[in-house]
Amino acid sequence: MPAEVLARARDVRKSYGVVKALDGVSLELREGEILGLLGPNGSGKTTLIKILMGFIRPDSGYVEVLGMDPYDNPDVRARIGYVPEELALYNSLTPKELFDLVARIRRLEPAAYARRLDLLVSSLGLKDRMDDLIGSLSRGNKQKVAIILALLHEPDILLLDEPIVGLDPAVARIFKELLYEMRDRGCAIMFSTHILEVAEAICDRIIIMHKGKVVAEGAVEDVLKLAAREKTLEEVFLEVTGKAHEVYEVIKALRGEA
Amino acid sequence: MRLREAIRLSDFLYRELVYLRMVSTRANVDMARLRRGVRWASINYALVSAIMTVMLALSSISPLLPLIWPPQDTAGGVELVDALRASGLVSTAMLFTFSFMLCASASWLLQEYELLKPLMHLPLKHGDIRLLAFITASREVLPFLLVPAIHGITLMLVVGLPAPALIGASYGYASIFLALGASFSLSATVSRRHSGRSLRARLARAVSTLTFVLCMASTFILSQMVSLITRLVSQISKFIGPFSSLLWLIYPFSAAEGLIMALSPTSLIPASALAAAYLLASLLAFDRGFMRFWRGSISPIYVGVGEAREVRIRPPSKLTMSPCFGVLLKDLKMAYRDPRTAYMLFTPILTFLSFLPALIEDAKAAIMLLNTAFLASSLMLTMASYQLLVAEGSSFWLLFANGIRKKDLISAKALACTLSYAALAIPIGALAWLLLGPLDMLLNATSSVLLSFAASSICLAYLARYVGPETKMAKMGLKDLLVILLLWGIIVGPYALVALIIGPLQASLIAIADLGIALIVLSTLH
Ligand SMILES: Nc1ncnc2c1ncn2[C@@H]1O[C@H](COP(=O)(O)OP(=O)(O)O)[C@@H](O)[C@H]1O
Ligand SMILES: [Mg+2]
Repeated sequence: MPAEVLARARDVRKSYGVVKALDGVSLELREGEILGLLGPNGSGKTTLIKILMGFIRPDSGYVEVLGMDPYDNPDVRARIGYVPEELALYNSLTPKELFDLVARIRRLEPAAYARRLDLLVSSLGLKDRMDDLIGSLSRGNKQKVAIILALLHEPDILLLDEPIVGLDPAVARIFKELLYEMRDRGCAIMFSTHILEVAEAICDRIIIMHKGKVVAEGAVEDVLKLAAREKTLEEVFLEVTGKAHEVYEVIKALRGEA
Repeated sequence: MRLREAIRLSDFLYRELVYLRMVSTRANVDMARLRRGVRWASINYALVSAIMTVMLALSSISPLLPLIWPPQDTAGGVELVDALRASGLVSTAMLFTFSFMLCASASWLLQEYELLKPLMHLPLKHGDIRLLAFITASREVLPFLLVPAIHGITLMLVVGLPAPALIGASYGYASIFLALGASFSLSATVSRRHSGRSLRARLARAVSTLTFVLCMASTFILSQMVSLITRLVSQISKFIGPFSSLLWLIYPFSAAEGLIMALSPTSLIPASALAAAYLLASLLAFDRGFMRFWRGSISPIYVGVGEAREVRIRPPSKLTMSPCFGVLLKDLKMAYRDPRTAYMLFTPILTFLSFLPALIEDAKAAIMLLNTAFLASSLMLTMASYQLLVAEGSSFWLLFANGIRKKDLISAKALACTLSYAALAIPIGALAWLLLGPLDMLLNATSSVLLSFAASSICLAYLARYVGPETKMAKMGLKDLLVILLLWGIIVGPYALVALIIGPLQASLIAIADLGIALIVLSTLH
């Protein structure tokens, strides 16, 4: 039985003035998969995630998350976990106070919430920082706070915008484990990144975006096969986004081979 | 680094400061206006400083003017002693107040936004950066240095002796340096975030918030009371003669008394010694304050008071698990930790305090004034509730991503304002009932609490149309401000009319009706 599609976008377009942030993007996010959203800066990854969250309305196209239009049904966010690209947290609260706030907004059951929080906080190693003000935390610890916020309520869909920024390798490894655990429970996970190794190591499927368009899509091996000459995802990435030539020129110049 | 260069460099910092002030105080700034504002910052600054300097100079010398050009119609004219006393007091009080307010705001922004940090990476010596920090923070105050000189020259013209002129000028400078020192050390204290849960950390947080609020309040009240002080002091010195012999020792009264004492050769020496001592003390205070500020600006701003330790995670109480309660708790906590929000919540206290002089002077007017204060508070709380929206900063996404409903968001913010106001109004109402007699006062206080909730929740319901997950800063334009004033008028107007014409009991029914309307408005939101 094929996995159920939990989120779907069809020919979605969104422009900011003359900039086409999304230029006809279609994708499906299925139950129990980790989908990597790859692409250079400005390719529209953040815009796409915000549209799936229902934060912005697309200019045209069809969007459906858990069977609803997310922009018109904000209640669907009860079943989504979200980590934004820009971490604007309340600097004058402690992590514990922030987690409590979110638990109250989501009306979580107190005992179950405390158990879940304890598990997440201990595994990500944030336990000794629970009473510090968030403003005094390092970038990596703030990122951990944001990740925990997204996982607290055991969502059905996780939308993560560059979630590994600032995490050290050990924590990134644990984060990966948390994602696998969520996936095995049927959670549909989509995360954007421009770090190729991460996508290669974690994702079941990847989508490469460029200038608001999907330029390659499929399982990691398939995308690799797509451009048979290339050996690594990095080379495929450069090839499909049309940057290979540019980058090789720069590299040559740097090595003094020009 | 030459001074010319320093001033040129501080121009950049200053522009940054103007930019931050514009985005943080004025809502709805469009980019074009911002760009213009920042570009014209220096000229703007020059104009404002010039106007302020002229205003300060004029108000310092205004009590002396009748002595230079005596009014023709009045027979007696003004006595020299009274004029000197008034001029000395007004000059010191105004110089202190304005220097403090301008420098406190500038140094606060410099520190809060870590504007000096980028300079650390430039090939500048620490001493140079320190000079830049000083020039930028006190830039708006520097032209005030002319005021004591002008004051001194005028004194010289009036009295014809050099001693009062020198003493007057030296107190002027002492006031400026004292104000600079106080504002620097205030912003150093306040912008230190104390983290941790220990009692010490909590105390530190409470003290820093309280200091800020009290300082802001005292400047506000001081500026309100300048005229009253002048009158009071001349009365006091007339009626309780012996006590005025102590007053000459205490700043700022010493400035006034020093001018008078300088008239006679016998008391000239203690007066000038005291003036010199105050000037020296003010310089020391300035030096200490500035060094604290400087150290705070270059070292990490967040200070960990409690050490890191593992905590046991306890589940929150079942009773508190509602979105509205969550936001309410968060807002009260954040307001308590952020002086700017706390200041807005405490403005009603300032209203009551600023009426205090009038209350003391005329107990009969007390009832009327208190009732006015109750009504005025409801307007201030409406503004405070807007400040609570602003305090969200760019974190609206967090609330909306977790599925908050506007109904809960608005009720929580209106409740946060109303509860903190009720904690003030009800005791004052009860006190007024016990001291002044009529039970009406308690009734009026209670009604004003209901009105405040109605007004702030309806105005927030209007403002909340603009906020959503993508909001980076809550905004209010001129049109919105007018709408809010209108809404407030519609809510409070009928109440005030009924209270004035019929009576407080009937008016309280109107307040209850207003509350009902507010609840209906809230229930229609999603
Ligand atoms: N609010 C906005 N206003 C104007 N342009 C925007 C806005 N958000 C995104 N863009 C533009 O849309 C394009 C895609 O941006 P984004 O989705 O953030 O890309 P990515 O996350 O892949 O870096 C960029 O060119 C960006 O400048
Ligand atoms: Mg992005």
